[in-house]
Amino acid sequence: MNTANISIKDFVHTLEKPSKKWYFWVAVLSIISLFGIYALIRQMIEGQIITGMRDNAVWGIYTANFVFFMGLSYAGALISCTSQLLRIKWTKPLMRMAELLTVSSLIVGAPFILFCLGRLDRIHYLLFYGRIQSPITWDVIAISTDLVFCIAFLYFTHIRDFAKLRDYPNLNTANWRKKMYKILALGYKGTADQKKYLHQAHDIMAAIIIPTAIIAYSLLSLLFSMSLRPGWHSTIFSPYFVVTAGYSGVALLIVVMWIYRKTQKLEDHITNLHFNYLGFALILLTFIYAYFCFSEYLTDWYNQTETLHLLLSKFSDFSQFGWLSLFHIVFAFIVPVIVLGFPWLRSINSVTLVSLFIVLALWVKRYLIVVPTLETPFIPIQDIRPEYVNYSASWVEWALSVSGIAVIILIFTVASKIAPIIPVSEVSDAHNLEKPKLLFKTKGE
Amino acid sequence: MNSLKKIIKNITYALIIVTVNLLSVSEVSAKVQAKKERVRMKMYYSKNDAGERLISIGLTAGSGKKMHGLKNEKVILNSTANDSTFTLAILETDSLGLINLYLANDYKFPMDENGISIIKASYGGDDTYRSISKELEIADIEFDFTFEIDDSVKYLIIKANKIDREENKTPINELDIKIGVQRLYSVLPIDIVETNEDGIGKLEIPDDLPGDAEGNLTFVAKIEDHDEFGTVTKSASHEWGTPVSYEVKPLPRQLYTDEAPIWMIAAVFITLLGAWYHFFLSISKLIKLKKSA
Amino acid sequence: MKKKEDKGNRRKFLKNTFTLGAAALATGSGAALAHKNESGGNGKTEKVKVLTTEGKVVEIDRHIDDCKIDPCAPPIGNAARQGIPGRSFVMVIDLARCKNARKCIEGCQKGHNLKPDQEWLKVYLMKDNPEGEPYWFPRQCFHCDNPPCVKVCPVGATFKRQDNIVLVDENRCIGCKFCVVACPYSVRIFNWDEPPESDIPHEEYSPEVSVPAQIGTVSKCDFCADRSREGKLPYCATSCPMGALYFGDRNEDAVSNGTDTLRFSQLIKERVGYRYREELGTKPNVYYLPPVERMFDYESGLDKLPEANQKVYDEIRFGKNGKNK
Repeated sequence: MNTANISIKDFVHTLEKPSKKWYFWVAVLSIISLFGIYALIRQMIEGQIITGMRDNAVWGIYTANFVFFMGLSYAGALISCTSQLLRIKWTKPLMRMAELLTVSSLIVGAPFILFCLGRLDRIHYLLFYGRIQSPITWDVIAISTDLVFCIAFLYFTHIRDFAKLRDYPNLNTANWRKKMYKILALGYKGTADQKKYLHQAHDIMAAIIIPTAIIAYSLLSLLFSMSLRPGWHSTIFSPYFVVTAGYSGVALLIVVMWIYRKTQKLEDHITNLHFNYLGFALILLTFIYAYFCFSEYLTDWYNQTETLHLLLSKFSDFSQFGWLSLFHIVFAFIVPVIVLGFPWLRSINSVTLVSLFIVLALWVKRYLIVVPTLETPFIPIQDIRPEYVNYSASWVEWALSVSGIAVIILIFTVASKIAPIIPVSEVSDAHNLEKPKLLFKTKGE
Repeated sequence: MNSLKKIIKNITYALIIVTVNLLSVSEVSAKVQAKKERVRMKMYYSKNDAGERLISIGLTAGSGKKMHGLKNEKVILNSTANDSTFTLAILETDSLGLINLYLANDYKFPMDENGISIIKASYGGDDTYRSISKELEIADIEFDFTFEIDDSVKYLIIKANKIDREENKTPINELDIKIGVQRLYSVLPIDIVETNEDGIGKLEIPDDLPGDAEGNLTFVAKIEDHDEFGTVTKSASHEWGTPVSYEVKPLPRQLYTDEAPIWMIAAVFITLLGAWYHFFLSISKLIKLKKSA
Repeated sequence: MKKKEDKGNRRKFLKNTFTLGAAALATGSGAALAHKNESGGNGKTEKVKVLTTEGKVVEIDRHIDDCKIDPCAPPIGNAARQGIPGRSFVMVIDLARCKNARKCIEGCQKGHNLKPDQEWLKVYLMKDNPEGEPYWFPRQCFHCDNPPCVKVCPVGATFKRQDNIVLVDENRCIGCKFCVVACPYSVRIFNWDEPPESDIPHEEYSPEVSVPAQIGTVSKCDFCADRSREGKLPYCATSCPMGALYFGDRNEDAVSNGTDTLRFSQLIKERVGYRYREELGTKPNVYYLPPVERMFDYESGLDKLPEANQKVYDEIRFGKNGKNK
């Protein structure tokens, strides 16, 4: 890592006048996103009859997506905030990606719970008539707080880069952008006082985001565990969700790293070392995740009630959820352990590929949390309408899911036009960081 | 019981099929079809608590699922007393084949010396339907309630009298009277009492019957479809129930009520306060940064 | 058999003339009474024929006092969140009498303007253990005293009242379906598309009436609170030909199925009434009487169903692999 040699000059070309290819790419993503909006409008006009949701499975992939995207956001926040607080140097080049991942998946994830609403036109009732006893209210409060904090933190880490861009001579870009840099840089000149203030702001924000994110993600699990339903009503759900979130987030961060490394030729900054370290984190998380999964299912399985028995049998039934749970087991446990376990299988590409499949497997896991339990109520479903017995998502739900991914990519694409994807100032300052505020001092300090 | 029903049903079906087959090949069928359909008539007399008297007549034809009311048909109501017959009214059935005729409060049936009126409803029939008539004996009855506590046991004493033309009261003996208490939807039966030769019935009332807010219970006496008196109800109120609180208590602060438990509000408030305090603290640092520029 | 049934019907008829004040005659076996004004409210009249003292038949307006609870009109908006004072509504379902006639479902659907596939009340076939005989199990909202659905509602659109009833205010419901998920008995249904045009007269939406329903909101059994104001039993209880559904007020200690009225406390004691899944701690207000000494074979409840519908129960009847029988 040649941290000291990094300069804004190396990145200016990524920020200047976009190429036609870039515009084309943005257009494609926008069309996909707009199709999602079209699907949403159709759903609002025609009602949720056009989704695959019915009584029994009243939640579907919207809820799975909600949990999934919120989970992705969690890892980014945790990584960037802990490395800020603990003054970890090697993560510095990844921080902006992690923070962007946090903010973009929060922005995309949060609306997915709203797509579940039958009456989106009454969304303001959540404020007018809000009941503090409902986990949904907790979620609304926690997620909006988390979102504000994460956007603030993302902005904080941009200030010095904005200052650098403001001061960059002959920046070949539109005037409004130059003006924007000037305003957003807050007159940062790099004086000792300013450095101190910025670091304090950083530290405070980082310190408060960590618990906020943990709380927000734990509360998410309560949407499920607060219901008296077999498969959901479990005390382990909060930490289980937090770990799953971290696992999927780290895996996606590896994928994002790989993409930027390839497309923006960042081999100098995103190195073998980063993949190694995150690969190590990944294998650790694989085991922690496996531990939680095992604890959860073992307790369920060991003394199963009638309904639990029915639920668990669906995971091994290939006409039900057998294939999905097999996919989950293979790509969330077996493949990562094999690929990361044997030295000759490890490489940047293999770790990335494994990560991609982990992300997919963890989406499947969310689906397996939401849908089978809803299809297995205490009183077994006796219904002749097949769509009421087994849930399958309609085109509307898939369109919105795909457009969610498109929006995340769009946010990344646009954001990396505004500021360098590698936080230049953070990286170059990595060696003379402001000391953290001490809780107490010993003699002589 | 069920299987018996099934057997009957099957036999009926078999008979119908056999009959239809037999008839369809013979000339007799034409004659049978021309034969008039049988008509059923039901007739009831009732007197409710408010003293409203009602004669209900129902005219139906067909059976089973094909049963239907005969609408807009004329029914003549006659009264026979002391060997002479009067026409009381000429009535028409409604769309369901029903006639409900109320009697004005001071209306009096022609009665014989025993206080009995005989009411006859006749339907003349037409080309399709046979004629039918039905007779009903009606006498006026009166119930009197008294409430007595004997050795801390509560007794309701009911007296039944027949009222004749001269308003004379004659005790009715061996009359089964249902006694109950009025509830929101119906009458909760307590027991049936039989009157003695003085027309008096005595019934023990349980101690634990819930009443209204003051503990009032409405006792209802009723005879059902009696040959002479029809269906008659009469009620009386007495303070023998256990009072039920009609005060609407405010709901507690609970997870399932509108107001949340205090600790929950406190927990959320404190957590939010802590989080947003730090947010604004870090923003204040940025403001300082801007000012120092 | 037939005679007995007739007698029953006649009794029912008399009971109706007795309790409702307004009299009408049943045309046949259990046919509907000619009771025209369905909407609530005092000051209603009906045209009746009266034989005057002079011996003339005249038609006059007769005042119907069918108001048993003041106010008689179902409350609108926030007023509906207050329970009816002094009432504590309960239901008792006699499992020995249910033979899946499905009349309760039809009555409920008609009364609440539901689509044929929307069932507030469902009749399940249950089997408690592999050796046990299956039995029919009608299940509607249990109106729990500790309702999991109300706890999770983010906007207070569903609420618990002092008279035991749990209602949904479809004017406030945002359709998050959390209550549907939270209910362990799957009693709540969602209005996935536009509800059918309602021919039930209504002035303004009241949660007690639940009509007209709104798209994108949750609905469920409302214990027919609006009917109670007129002293009428819920639609399901009045439409059950077997009299399996008893409804009443626990504070009055009486439940009625329209024909028989019994003391609630004695009924539960003598017939060993139980509540479904007591262990969940939801404290339901619907009690079941065990399906012992049944009046019918459970299979008689299958006879009238189309073959496709019958298959739904195969797993319960014959076990998962069809080996149990």
